[in-house]
Amino acid sequence: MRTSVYLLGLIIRVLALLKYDFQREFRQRMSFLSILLYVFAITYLLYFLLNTQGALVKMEVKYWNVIFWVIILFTTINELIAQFSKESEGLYLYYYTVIKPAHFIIARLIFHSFYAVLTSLMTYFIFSIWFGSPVENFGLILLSILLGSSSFAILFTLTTALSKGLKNNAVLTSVLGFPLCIPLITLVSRLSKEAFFSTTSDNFWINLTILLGFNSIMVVLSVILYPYIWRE
Amino acid sequence: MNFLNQRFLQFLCIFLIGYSFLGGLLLPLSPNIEKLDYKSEDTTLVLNLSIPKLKEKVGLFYLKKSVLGDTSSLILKPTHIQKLETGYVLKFSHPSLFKEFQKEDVLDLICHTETWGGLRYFSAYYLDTVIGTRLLPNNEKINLPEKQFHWSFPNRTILRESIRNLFYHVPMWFTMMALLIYSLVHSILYLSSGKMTHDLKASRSAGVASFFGVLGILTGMIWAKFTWGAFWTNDPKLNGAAIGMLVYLAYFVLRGSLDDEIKRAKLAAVYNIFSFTIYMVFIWILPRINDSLHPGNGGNPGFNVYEQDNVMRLFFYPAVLGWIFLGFWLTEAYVKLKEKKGE
Repeated sequence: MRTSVYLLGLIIRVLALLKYDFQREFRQRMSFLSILLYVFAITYLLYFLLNTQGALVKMEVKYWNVIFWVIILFTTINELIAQFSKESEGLYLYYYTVIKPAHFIIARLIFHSFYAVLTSLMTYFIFSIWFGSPVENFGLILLSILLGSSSFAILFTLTTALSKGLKNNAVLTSVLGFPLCIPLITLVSRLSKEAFFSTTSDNFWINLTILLGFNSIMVVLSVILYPYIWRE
Repeated sequence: MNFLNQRFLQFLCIFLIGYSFLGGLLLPLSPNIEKLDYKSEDTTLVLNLSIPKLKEKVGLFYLKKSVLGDTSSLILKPTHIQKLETGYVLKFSHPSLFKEFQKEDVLDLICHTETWGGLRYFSAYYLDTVIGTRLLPNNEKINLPEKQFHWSFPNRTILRESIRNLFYHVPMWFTMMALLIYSLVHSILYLSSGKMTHDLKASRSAGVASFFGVLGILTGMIWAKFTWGAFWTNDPKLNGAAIGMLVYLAYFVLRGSLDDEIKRAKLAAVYNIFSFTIYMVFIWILPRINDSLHPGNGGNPGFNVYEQDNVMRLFFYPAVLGWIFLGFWLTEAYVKLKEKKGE
């Protein structure tokens, strides 16, 4: 009985926080548009550079894959830094008086994952304009975008929370997160590599399980550890 | 780690490291086939090999498929054996193609000796159709002779003298792991109790662990140059080591960019726990699904299968213990130094 009440309270509060986040995001539509513009610019820059080198003629799918995931990684980092820098100290003080840290971080993880998945999908469409889409298995690329960008979002949510309020927080976020995102980006790029072929290989299920495992470990650790850095 | 203050453990540590250094560098290698040239003509294969340090006469020569744990008795004996001053010339000339050996099989050359057991030259000969070697079936069951005990290290085909690096390269990683776990425990203890000594210990042991990690990478690079031909290869274990170094550098960058002691301790502890967990998952799972050049991965035999014989163990385990003690001793000294400065 008590646990169900606790869970209900958690869900209600997390939903309320999410609603607030989405409302605020809707009011400030410019930030989402600026992320889209960022993606546009960086994709076009890469297209332009690769074209001057003649590298786009018969570009192999593995290079497509690598460029795609690097763009998604950098977009995710930038949007998370933007999200965290939007909140003033006063707003945090307010949060601190009314909600529990665990509820806050759960809402944050969901919101950031959703946001990252949305921008990654947009990135995919923008990317296909210039680089084409050699994808055979569309469901699989959707799955890898979903898992991959949410895992980047989860990882960088904690590192941004760690470096929030420090002097060089934008650099520090990347420094703290990059070593840890190497295994993630390896797994994700392997997963999405399968989308270019109509059949999946034997390693597909192993990669998928490990990626899911990584994501759940990161979520659990964030929820456990966030209360300790909440007040800082 | 207060018990390490006791003098006797420090002496034990020095003794163990000194013992593994002396023994590891002074003991000779056992004799083995060191040089092997082959000439092949239409139906004959001539192997010219040297076994420099072997005093006794070789009882039996044969070629065998190079498969680990291969229990088949398919072997190929030479037709002529000629003894030279430090080696032998073997001539294999057989009229009919041996069906069981397939194209592109790799053959090992094995010599039976009385006191040293079976000497093995790995990948002595690659079968291909161009040479058209004719191999004869020989279905007698042959068991390797028992090796008698000698104070010497195994002499492996590619490793040679560099096998001694096992006593210096591997203990570095063991020490690093032990210190990182110690650091993790102190980070958790700091978050639950809030005592600054735990933070001090966590950060200092992470520092000493990084030092051992650098030593491990350096010794490994020298070993890799000697055996694999390059200082750095795209190997999952090497990538894991590099990522580990980056993670702990980031940990120290995080510590360095904070001035407030309590805030620094908290953030560093949280980052330590988070990154250690992901790093552990990474280095324990990914090498298992990738191919690695290291022993024990990707179909390579582990060290304990045939390289770690009893003499190696006599020096390897003391070396591991000694270096782990040294790591904790350094950490302890480092913590004390900081505490003295702080007073």
